[in-house]
Amino acid sequence: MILETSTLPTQKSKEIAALIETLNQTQKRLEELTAGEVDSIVDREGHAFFLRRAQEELRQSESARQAAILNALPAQVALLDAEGVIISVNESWGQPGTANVLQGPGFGVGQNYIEICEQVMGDCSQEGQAAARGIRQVLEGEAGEFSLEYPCHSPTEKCWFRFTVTPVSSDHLAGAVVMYVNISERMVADEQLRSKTALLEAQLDSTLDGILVVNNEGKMILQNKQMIDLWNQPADIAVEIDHRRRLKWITSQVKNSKKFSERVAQLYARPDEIARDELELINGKYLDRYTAPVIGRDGKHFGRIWVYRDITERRRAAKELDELSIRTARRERLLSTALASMSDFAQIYDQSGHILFVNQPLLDLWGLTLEEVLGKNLSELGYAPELANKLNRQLQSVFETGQEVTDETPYTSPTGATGYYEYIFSPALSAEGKVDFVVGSTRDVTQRKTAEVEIRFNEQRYRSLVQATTAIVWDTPASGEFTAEQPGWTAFTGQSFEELRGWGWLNAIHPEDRAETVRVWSAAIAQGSSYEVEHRMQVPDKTYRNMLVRGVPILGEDGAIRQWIGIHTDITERKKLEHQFLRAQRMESIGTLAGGVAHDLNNILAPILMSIEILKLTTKDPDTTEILKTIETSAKRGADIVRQVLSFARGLESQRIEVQPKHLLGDVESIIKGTFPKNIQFEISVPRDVWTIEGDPTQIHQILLNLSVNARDAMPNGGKLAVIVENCVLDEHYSAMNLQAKAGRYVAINVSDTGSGMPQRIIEKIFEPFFTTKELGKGTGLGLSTVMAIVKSHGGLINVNSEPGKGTTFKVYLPAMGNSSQTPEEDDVSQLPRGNGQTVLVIDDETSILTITGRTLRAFGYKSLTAVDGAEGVAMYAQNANDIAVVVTDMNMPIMNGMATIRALLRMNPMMKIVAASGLNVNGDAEKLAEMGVTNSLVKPYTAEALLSALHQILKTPSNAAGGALHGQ
Amino acid sequence: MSRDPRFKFRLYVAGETQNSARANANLTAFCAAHLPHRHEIEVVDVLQEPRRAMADSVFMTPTLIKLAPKPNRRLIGTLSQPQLLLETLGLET
Repeated sequence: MILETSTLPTQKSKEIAALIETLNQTQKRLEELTAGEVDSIVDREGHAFFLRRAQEELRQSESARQAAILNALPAQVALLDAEGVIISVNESWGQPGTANVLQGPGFGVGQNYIEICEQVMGDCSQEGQAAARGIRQVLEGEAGEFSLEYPCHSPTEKCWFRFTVTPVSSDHLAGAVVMYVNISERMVADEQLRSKTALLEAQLDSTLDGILVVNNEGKMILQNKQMIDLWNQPADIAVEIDHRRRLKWITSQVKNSKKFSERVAQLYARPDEIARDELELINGKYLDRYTAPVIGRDGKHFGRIWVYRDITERRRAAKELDELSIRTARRERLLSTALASMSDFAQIYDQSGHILFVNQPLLDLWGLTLEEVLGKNLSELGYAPELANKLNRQLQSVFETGQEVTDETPYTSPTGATGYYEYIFSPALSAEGKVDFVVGSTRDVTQRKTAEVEIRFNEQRYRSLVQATTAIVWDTPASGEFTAEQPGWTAFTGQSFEELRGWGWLNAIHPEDRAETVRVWSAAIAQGSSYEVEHRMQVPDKTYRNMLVRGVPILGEDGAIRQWIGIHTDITERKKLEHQFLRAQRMESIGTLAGGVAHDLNNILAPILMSIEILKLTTKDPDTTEILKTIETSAKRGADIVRQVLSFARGLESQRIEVQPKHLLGDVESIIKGTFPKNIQFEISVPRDVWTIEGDPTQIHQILLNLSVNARDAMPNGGKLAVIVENCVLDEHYSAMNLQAKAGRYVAINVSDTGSGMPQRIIEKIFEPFFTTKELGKGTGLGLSTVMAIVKSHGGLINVNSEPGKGTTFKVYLPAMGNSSQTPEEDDVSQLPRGNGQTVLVIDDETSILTITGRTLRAFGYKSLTAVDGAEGVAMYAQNANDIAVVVTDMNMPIMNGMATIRALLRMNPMMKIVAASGLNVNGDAEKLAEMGVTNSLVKPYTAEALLSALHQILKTPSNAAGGALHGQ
Repeated sequence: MSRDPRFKFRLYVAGETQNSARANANLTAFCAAHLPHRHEIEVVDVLQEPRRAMADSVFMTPTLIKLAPKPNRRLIGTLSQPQLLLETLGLET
């Protein structure tokens, strides 16, 4: 307690005054000493005493600072003490124009502001009451602070104020600061914000989106119904102006809360950012969130708008679509891979024939990429116009009819691959059954085709082979019956397919052979072994041929029999030969036997013959003599037969002695006359100076006999048989013509008849052993072959000339004895008559004769022209008529024979000199020729001598009509 | 690694009075200029912590005490003379 100064005892007051003075002096002195640099003094107990100046400063600065702060505030601030009395105010407090509810008289300093507020009347009385209450609460520490916003509009403008009460100190009651802030600007801004979004409000309820606008202070400016529903905001959250609470609730609804809050904070922190993202709520909903700043007309930033859209469905649909497209893509990939791995070429076409798809192998074949072919038609892809048209037509038909089309075609691709392709166009149907598109599948069958072609070629070859072979080739399936046409069999047997099919072919087999055939064939089929049998088969003329049959099974890849292939070979001839061979063997053995028998018989006959001789001598009775003669004849005949048999049995062991032809012929004559039928005329001619033959008389006898017998057999109705013997020199020229002959001297025996003659093809065969034109059993067929053998063994040769209907002449040349006593002078070649350069035309169908004759002529001083047939001869003569001196023509030529040729020549030139060369030595022709005036003739084969002398002869005579003897050299 | 010693200062002030404020400013500037990165300044307000003034036998503000390196030195005033400061702190070159 401080006493008043007047009542203080003097001593105390004096002391106080002195202390104060001391204090003052001290302060002054301290300041001097410290040059004003010291602010305060600190005593021993740590209390600081501010020096005067510092105090002053403090006070000043303190208050100045306070005042500055207070005045700087865009608010009206008043400081109240603990009772609510205004201690101080700032400049703004009480300013006119600041429509302050508590505009009271004066600034109110010293007044109790609580009371002022309570006493406010009028519009703002409620606010006043609230303010008073708030102040009291803060002063009494009941509330940490109080704030109130309220409008206070003037007639001219809208005003809002924010009234706050804040305690001075938080830990003890020391008064409060009340502040009014004019928030009109902000409120106006907020209203602007609201009007700005008013446009949206109209759409808000019609939109499906949830819209929320929050201002910069975190207040929810607006939110539409969808926003509430979208989030399912509970009622208390829905009405919340303070967005922070809502935000907290919203955050709890979101799946990734932390991320969500961070993002939201980020967005609020960057007012200008526009963003869009998606939220997943814990209830499974998906929301699309869009947010943007809200900027006022004046460019000021007011807040942020949030737009939410429910995309749950869309998301689900998208997910399904995703999955679907994944599945589809997978299926497509599978399909593509399958198509690509196919070695076949796949295509897909649309209605207009354009390509929808093509697989890789086909792209490779074309040498194109998928992009290059899509949508194109085949005609644009290098297909030949015809092929493209055909394919397009086929595609169209599939579209129209819904039926698939199969075909094959050769094709060369743009890459140069040539081949054969098989293809199918198949329709792909839509759900309604219409053809949506066509799938083409193409396969390279080039190999198969070439294989087919080869198979066909081989089959062709096989068939040709079959046809070419003279045997019958047949085939059956494994069952062994004929199931297919057998051309060879049909041709051979005359059986038609119907007749031979199945087991019908057995009917062509000789009945006696059928059983065996069936047995062997069935066994072969059963065992799968090869089949061999002989049987007789009937040919269309009803005769049977002997057939050797062989069949083999053809195995398939599995080892089972696929078919039988067989051959029938005609072995009839062979069988005949076999027969004949057997017969010959039989004959031989018989011969041997006969030889023995004959020998015995000979011995038996000899005494008989001898006895007859004796008896002939002793008897004079004519009858007895007659009988004896008969007996002798018989016996002799017997002897002859024996001899013949003997000679045959003995074979051809021969001796070489001098044989007199005369004697030989004598023997033959007697036999012939004795045994031959009477209707055969017999003529024998042997010249006196005939040479002797070096040979075996028996064998030569045999020759004559055989030939004579043949001649006889050729004249069943009679005729003339002539045996003419003559000397013959075969010169080099002749031997050139006739290969069998060695040059030298020969005795020629000509046996000719006027019988039936033989055609050329028989002549070729007559010397073959066993060949006979007679029936089986008549004649051995050995006659002529024996003759040939004998002739050959003598070193001679034999010729035949025959004309059917005219007769036959056999010419046998046997070598003459070397040193015959009757050897005629050797013909000196130089003595042969030569020509004088005359041209001779030689006509003969044998070119060898033409050649030799030509040479001979030229060698002997003639010129020669040759012609190979009558027509050519006539032509040659026509060309060279003046030159040709004489014509030598063969009589026996095909087509235009000698007779016709001669006639033609004589027509051209009646004085023509013609020599007729003929192989036949019989009369018929000679008479005719003589009638025509052709009297010169040559007997074929002719020696050079004969030719030259004939020419010499004819050329000597002035004309050919002059008679000339028949030359026969 | 500086071999120079680290300076430790303690500045006693009385609130926000002018001199005290000036002293603080001057000290800070001085340290920044002459003792970069090797000084420590502790400001003690006697109004807030009167007992510390007693402990250090401080009876005027502003007072600067150099605690390190030894020897301890004491300066009273606004520290407006850098030369004097240098001498007192033994930092003359």
